Formats: sequence, structure tokens, C-alpha cells
Amino acid sequence: MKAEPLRPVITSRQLLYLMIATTFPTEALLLPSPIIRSFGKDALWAILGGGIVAILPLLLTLFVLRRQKAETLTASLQRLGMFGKVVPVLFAAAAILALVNIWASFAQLLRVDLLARTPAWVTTFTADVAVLYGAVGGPEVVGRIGEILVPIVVLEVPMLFLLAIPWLDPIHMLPLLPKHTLSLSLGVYEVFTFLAEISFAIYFASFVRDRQGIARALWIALGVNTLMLLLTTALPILMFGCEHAGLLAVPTVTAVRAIHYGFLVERLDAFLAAPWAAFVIVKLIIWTVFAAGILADAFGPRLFRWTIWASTIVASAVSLSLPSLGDVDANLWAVWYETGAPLALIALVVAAAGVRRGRGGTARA
Amino acid sequence: MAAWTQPDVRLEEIITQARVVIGGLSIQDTFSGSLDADVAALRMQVEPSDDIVFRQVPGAPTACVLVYQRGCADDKALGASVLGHLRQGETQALPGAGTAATCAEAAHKLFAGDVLLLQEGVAQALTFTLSARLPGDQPQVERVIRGPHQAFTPDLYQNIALLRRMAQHPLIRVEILPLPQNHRRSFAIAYKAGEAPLSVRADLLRRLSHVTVDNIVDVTALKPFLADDPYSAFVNVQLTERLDTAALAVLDGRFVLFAGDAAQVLLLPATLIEMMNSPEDLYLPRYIGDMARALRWGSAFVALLGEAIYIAITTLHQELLPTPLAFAVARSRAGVPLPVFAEVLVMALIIEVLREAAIRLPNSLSQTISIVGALVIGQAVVQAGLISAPVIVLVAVVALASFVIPQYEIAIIVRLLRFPAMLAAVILGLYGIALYGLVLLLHLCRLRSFGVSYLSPVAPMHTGQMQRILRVPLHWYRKPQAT
Repeated sequence: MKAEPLRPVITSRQLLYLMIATTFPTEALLLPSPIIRSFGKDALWAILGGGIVAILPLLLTLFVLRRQKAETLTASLQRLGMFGKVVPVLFAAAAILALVNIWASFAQLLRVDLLARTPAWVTTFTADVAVLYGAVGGPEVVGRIGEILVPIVVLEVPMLFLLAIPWLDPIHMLPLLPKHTLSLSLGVYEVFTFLAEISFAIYFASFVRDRQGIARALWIALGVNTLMLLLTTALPILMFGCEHAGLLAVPTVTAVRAIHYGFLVERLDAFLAAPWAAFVIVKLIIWTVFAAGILADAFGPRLFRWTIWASTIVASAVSLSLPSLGDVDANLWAVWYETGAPLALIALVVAAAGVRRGRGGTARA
Repeated sequence: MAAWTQPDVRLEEIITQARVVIGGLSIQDTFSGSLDADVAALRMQVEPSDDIVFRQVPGAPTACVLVYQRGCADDKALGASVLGHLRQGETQALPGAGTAATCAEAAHKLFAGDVLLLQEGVAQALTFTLSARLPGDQPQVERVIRGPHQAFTPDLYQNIALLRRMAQHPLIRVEILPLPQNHRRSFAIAYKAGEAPLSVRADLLRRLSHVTVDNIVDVTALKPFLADDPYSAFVNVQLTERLDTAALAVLDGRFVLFAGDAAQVLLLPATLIEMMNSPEDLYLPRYIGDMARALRWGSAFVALLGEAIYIAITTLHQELLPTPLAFAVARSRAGVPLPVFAEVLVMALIIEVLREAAIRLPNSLSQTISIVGALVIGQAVVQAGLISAPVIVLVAVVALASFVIPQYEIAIIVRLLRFPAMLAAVILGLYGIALYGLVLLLHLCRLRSFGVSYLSPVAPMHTGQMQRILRVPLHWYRKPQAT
């Protein structure tokens, strides 16, 4: 039996699962509705395009990781003085915006689709407890939980497709080619901002023990994320058609609900949606650890717990104060691709420029 | 961010590792005939092994040293049957006498229970057997159908000798621990040199040095002192009475902790996966062993969440049930005054009371009382219309499932943890159960047992150790790397 090193470390396999867990719950539950509503059947082309464009931030992330080697991002930016602190702040700001976004969407998902009779403060408070408990454990705990849960919840998607075969109607996919090029490019951008979350590996990769596996993990993660988003968006389109699927708050859950078994259990929706919903908590934990960790790296370890508490309380409070899903979900999504994602992308570019300059400076010195 | 502290053990590790390497390669492997050199060579081969006695024989015609395991021979037995012969120079008269030409062979025979005699001027070790067979008790708690039926005895040195004989490995080391705070009881650890992580040894010694109380009458009382997380309900050491379980653990690179004259030992580090395995899995054909393991995990799931899922479905997710089943449940509940949650809770508590009563009663009564109690109470509450029949069935199935868990401590924890699960189910339905499961998993992910993740080899995943979960064909077997 092997005793493990005492400082927090994760494996490249855990990094892969972390990067899938960062996006999967949104793919499964929250994202299909706004993109089907906005782009109709073109949403599938938008996802494909977004997946391809997301290779750019992936390459940039790999560039930064290669430059910073075994250091944390903050350590490798330290040579740039105050400028080096800007990157963690930008990343943390993007993460906190994302947290507010996810908290709000998630709370309303519970209110509207899963637990209509349970008071919102109860669901929010219980989720708060889970997020705080998980986030305080740091990257190592998050890596392990991802390693256990990701394969289970991801495998639910192909299983769903198999179960839904009698209800699928390929006619809904016709015509295959995209109709509106302009709206498609907007769709590509929106999906790209979502899949660009892969750049958050910049923080978690510094904990990876087997560094040669990082690049492979990130490529696989991007591929899996794109594929999962394609499947979870295609399922409701194939079942209900674009017009109807776009009107649904959580099309995947509605799709599962439409499948009747009549054997032992009538439907599987709550059985499938409950683990997914709990998996959103994992996503919240990952983003919280990211925001708190990157700030703690830059400004001192004491900030870690404070940021966890503050971001969780603020994000859940905002989510409690928002009105019902139908009014705000599109705006919530827009908060990410108009504000959060550009912040993260700017941070990534600055980080790339920074590590390049920092390394060069060291070499010259 | 979680932070862990540990004393600096690097120097100690290097020294011990060097001794292991020297011992393993054996600088002088053959006996030279010089008594001092031969004793030194043998010491190098077996040490650290505090259970091995090197004893000079006074009054013998030539200088000689007896080497034996303390658990296999004592002064009385030696005095009665050996010393007399030696003083008269009658080595041929010793029982079952043989020879060992090399140190390695001598060590092998020594660990198998033989007594060695090293003599001045003789370039080999004389070996003889003092006791034909070491006593071993029958396991009382961890019983199996196939496999060895041998348990530890209430004697420290005999237990060490039994372990050595079962494991049959020359690199097994035994250390008697000096615990100045606890003079009256002896502690010992056994481990396989070169495979057991020495950081665990150092950590164990540090924790044992904190044992300041005198009321340690059994090895189980050490658990609080060894805990990684004092607030966790999960145990981080595995208690066993079975000799083969301990021997396999030692060969696997784990530590065995003996305490005083306890007939049980502690194995550490202990992971959840290890504690869900039964020794019998290895003695059964592969597929049957794997099926037993899967059944055990399924039973643990039912024991933990069976009642909670019933509560969630009948309270908040009735739409999941097919109509005939929903009607059947509704019919059985007609007239029951309690809500489902209270029904299940009351019956679960009754079962717990019955179980506790059965433990406290004398053996002759306990079985009768528990069966009569369960039948009478079950029948009566259904007839009185207080509890519905499906709940009786459910609680009985859950109770049965909890008995399948092999480690008693884990079974107790599962029984305890199902009550919060019921509460989560009645408040938040299936989502609550999923959330509760997530928090439980997070807790397990945070736990460590002496530096080893509690969920190892699943998280973090060690593909080389997956045979702990699923047995693979022997030619696939990859031994875990030594640390």
C-alpha cells in the first residue's frame, strides 16, 4: 500500500475529470435551453464550431502551462510585479461571476423542475453547506470526487440516448445544413466562451504530479465536453423538435420525463436528474476552489477560506433574490458570455504574455 | 487549503532502508565458523526483529548460541529438552535436528518456527524443532466457509510467531515498541521491510507515543489515538482476529499492530475498499468472489439508502411509480396514522433496539428473543394499523443487507448514517439523497488512513491495485510498486 505525498496533488486523470466536471452539469441541465431557443437546429453547428474555436484557448493554456512548468501561475508571474497580480484577480472575477450565474440557474432549476414545494432557502442552504464543505478540502478532494462521479454521470447521457430510441424522430434534424450564417457565428462565439472554461486548468494543473499527461487530459476534456454538449442538445431536438425544445426550461429533464417504462418505475427523470443536480454542486465546488485558490496564491493563503465563504454566501444570496427562471435565464447566460468569459480570456492572454516575458526576463538576467 | 504536518522521517527512513538493503543482499550469506561473525551475520539477516532471541548456552563444551522466536520456545521448554543435551555435547539427540548452510536458509527456518544453534568452529547452523504445532484459536466473529480457520491467541509472542509462520516471508520485521507511558502492556508492529511505507511507521510511533492513559485493556481501545480525523465516524484501522487476513495485509505492505495479550490485531493503513473485502473472496473461484464483492457493495447501498429512497419516492416522487404499484402502496397505507417518514423511523429504531438487546442477552436466549421479538412486533404493528406491511418488509431487507458488510465497525456506521439520509429524503426527496451522498463522498475523499487516501485505489485511482476491487486473471496481476 502506498502512502501519498502530503502536499495536495492530483493526477492528470483527475485533471481530466475536473475539466469535464467544470462544464458537464451546465451542458446536461442549463445550456441546451438557451442555445436551442436562440439558434434552433443551428445550435448543433454552433456547438461544433464552438468546439473547434475553443482549441485556441486550449493551446494558449498549454503554452502557459509549458512555460510555468512546476510553478503555480502566480509564482511564474511574480517577476512582473503588480502586473502579475492582475491575472489572478481577473480570473477570480470571472469565476465569481460564473458562480453567481450557476447558483442562480441552479436554484431556479430546483424550484421550477425538481422541488417546487420546498422553500428556496432550504435548497440553497443545503447546497451552501455541501459547497463549503467540499471547497475547504481544496483541489485534492475535488479531484477525487470528480474521479468517482464523472464517469457515472457522463455515462448517463449515452444510456439516455439508448432508452430514448423509440421516441427519437430524425425528421426534426432536417434540413441538416445551417440556415443563418450570422446567427451561427454568434452561436459559435457563445458556445466557445462556454467551452473556453478549459483555460481554468491553468490553476489546477499546477497540482498535477504527472505533468506529461496534462496536455492529453485537456485535449480529451475538450473533446468530451463538446461531444456531451452535442448529445444533450440533440436529444431534446430529436424528441420534440426545435420549436418545442426551445420553450422548455430544462429540456434534458423533460426528455427523460417523456420516456415511460412501465416496469418497476414509471419514469426515470428524478433518478437521473437528482445526481445531475447534485453534480452541479461539484461544479460549484470546483469554481469556488478555483476562485479562492488563485486569489490565495496571489495574495496569501489566509484568503483561501475567506474567499470560499464570501463567494458562496454572495452567490447564493444573489440566486435567492432573483425572480423565476422564465424571466432571467437568458440574461444569466448572457452574463457569462458578455462579461465573465471575456474577463477569463483577457486573463489568459495576459498570463500568456506575462509568462513569456517573465521567462525571457529571467533568461536575460 | 488543507494542510498536513508530519515529523521529518527522512533520516530514519534512509537508515532503515539501508539496513533492509544490507539484510536483503546479505553481505555474508554463508556461515564462517566464527561464532561472533555468524551471530552478526544472522542478526543482519533478521533484524529489526525484536521477537528473535539470541541466547548463549552456559556450560556447553564449545561456545554456542541458541536463536529462536520467543513465541515458539520459552526458557522452560528449552531447559527441559535442549539445554541438557547441549551441555553434554549431544547435539544429535535434539528433536528433528537438521542443518542450514546459509544465513538466508537459517532465517527461513527460524521464521518457520525452528530453533537454531550456532557453534564455534561449525560453519553451519544446526536447526531443530521444539514444538510441533503452534496453537491457534477458531475465529469467532469473522467466520468463513473456505480458507484457514485460524485466529490469534491471547499471547503477544505466540501471535507474532503465528503470523510469521502464516506469512512465511524472510523480510517480515517485528518491533516491540517502547511506550514509556504505558509500562504494563507490550505493543508490537510487524511489517514487510522494503514494501511497507516507513512514513507510516514513523506516523504510527508518533501517535502511539501519545497514548498516555493506563486503561488500555484491549487493542480496540487504541483506535481513538490512531485516528486521522477525530471527528469522523469512519475508522481508519482495521480490526481482525483472523491470522490469514493479517498475514495477507503484511505481505501487501501494511502494518500489523499487536497490543498486549489481545486476541485481535489492528491493520493499518485501512481503506474502505479493504474493509469491504472478506478474506473468503480470495479462496473462492474468481467470478464467485467478485460476485460476492458486488453483492456486498449493493447491500451496503441498500442498507444506507434503501429506506431513504422509499421515503423519497412515496413522499415527493409518487409519479415515478407505475400506477398498479402506486395503488398497492396506497392501499397498504390506508388507515395508517403516521407519515411514511415516521413509520420507517419507528420501525428502524425498533430493529436497532432488538439488535442491541440480542447482543446483550446470553447466547442461548438472544436468537430466540430476536426472532420472537421481530415476528411478534412486526405482526402486531401491522394488525394494529400502525405501520404498513411494505415498511416491515423494507426495514427487514435493510437490516439483512447491513449484516452483509464484513467489517463490524463499517456496518455500525452505515446503520448510523441511514438516519440522516432519511431526513434528507423527506425534506428534499431524491435530490436530497443525491446531495447527502455527495457530502458523504466528499467526507470520504477528505479522509486518510496514515497518509493513504481512504478511497484508494478508486480515488486517487491506482490501476495497478484494482485487484483489490475486481480480481483479475493471475497473469494480469501487477504487483503494486514498492515505496
